[in-house]
Amino acid sequence: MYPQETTLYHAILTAVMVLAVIILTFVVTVIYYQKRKLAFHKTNIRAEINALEKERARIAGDLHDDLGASLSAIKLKLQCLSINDEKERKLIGQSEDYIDEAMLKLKHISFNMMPQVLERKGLEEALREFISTIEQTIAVKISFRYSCPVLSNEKTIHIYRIVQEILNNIIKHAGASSATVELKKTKKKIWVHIADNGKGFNKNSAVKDSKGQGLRNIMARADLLNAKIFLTTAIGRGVDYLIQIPENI
Amino acid sequence: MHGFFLNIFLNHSVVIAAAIAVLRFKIIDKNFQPFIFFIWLGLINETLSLVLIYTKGSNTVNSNVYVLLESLLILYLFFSWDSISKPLYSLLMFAAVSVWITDNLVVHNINGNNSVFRIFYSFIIIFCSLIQVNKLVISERVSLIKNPVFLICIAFLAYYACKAFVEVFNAFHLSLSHSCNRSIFTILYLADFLSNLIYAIALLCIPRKQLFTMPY
Repeated sequence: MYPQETTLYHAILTAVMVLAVIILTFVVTVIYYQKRKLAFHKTNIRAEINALEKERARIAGDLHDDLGASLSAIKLKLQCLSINDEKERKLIGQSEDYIDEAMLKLKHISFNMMPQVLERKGLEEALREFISTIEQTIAVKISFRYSCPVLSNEKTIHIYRIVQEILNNIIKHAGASSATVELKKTKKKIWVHIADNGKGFNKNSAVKDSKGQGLRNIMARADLLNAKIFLTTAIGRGVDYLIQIPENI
Repeated sequence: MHGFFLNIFLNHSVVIAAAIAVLRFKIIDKNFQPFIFFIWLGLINETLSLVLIYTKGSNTVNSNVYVLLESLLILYLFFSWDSISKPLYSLLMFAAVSVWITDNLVVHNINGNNSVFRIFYSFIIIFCSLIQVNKLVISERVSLIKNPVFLICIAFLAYYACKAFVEVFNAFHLSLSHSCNRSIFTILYLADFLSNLIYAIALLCIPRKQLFTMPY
């Protein structure tokens, strides 16, 4: 290399280094601010979901304790009436049936809002009860397998809500005749696998059109669990959710 | 001669990413397939270039054809990632082919070391990479450090920014000595080496199944 070329080469080398520093700064700032944005988003979501769960628990409690007790009292009072007229007795009987129906609906609403069995007996029993309620309501056969240890309260409620949301989607949209719900634990991860044999959907268009509040709710809760969701679906080929949750969050 | 072998080593570092791509080809998401073809194409071109340099003394023709194929593959990769819309993709494809024809067949000769197209497509790739990085910052729900799309875009940014910069010296046909020219291009080969390593890491980070995500 000639002396003038050496100077030129050094100038080029310096320029390339400046370029490299600029790109490195860009990368570092992108990663840093994206992490900050994630943390901020997670804090907001956690606060929103916690407030929502508290409110749900309060409403479920009120429904069960106040309205449920009132309906039972009305039914008891009706049973105490001594009526001789056959027509009126029939009317009372019908009223009791309506009250029974209202109490059953109240129980379902209260269970969907905040299943007390979740607090008392844990995730497995709550899911088992929820699945049996679905099987009684619609013609879908759900196979349920559970092999997880006792989980923290926060994790339990998020996993329950995710499974509930997915099963609700199956009931509303899938038109499936059978489904599988499986929760298991491997070394450091908890796996939730839910699949159905329904009509499936176009994943890309669902994401692009930003449809589906249900999917959004699932994603929000998965974010709080630091979970990864693997969703396999296509039109006519059912839906398969595989959710990987780290054991320690 | 020592520098020549160093350049061969740096350019052939793509073999690491190519080997990983062979091992993971069947299990990774099909949105990454154009990237894998891009890696394999790179390896094939480097090997072909080496053979042609030893047998015919020049690798300019295959390099000129390679840059066209490379640019089209990368554009298709960005299209399959939804980084660019279909009209923009078609426009960029058309622009790339037009500039290549103008540079290699109309203004210059395909046997020459033509830089105009190389500078042009480097800018297109940098533009697409920046769009994709911005999209990831907005939509990604987990850290970007292990995100394969992010890693690939950063490698593209580093390599093609360097390529556009270095090719400018070639475009002006400065009458520099052979050793000075080679030293300048060694900078590009170092950037190539670095980006090849990032490609290898990105390939290892691609999940077996497609991770589901939604924009906020």
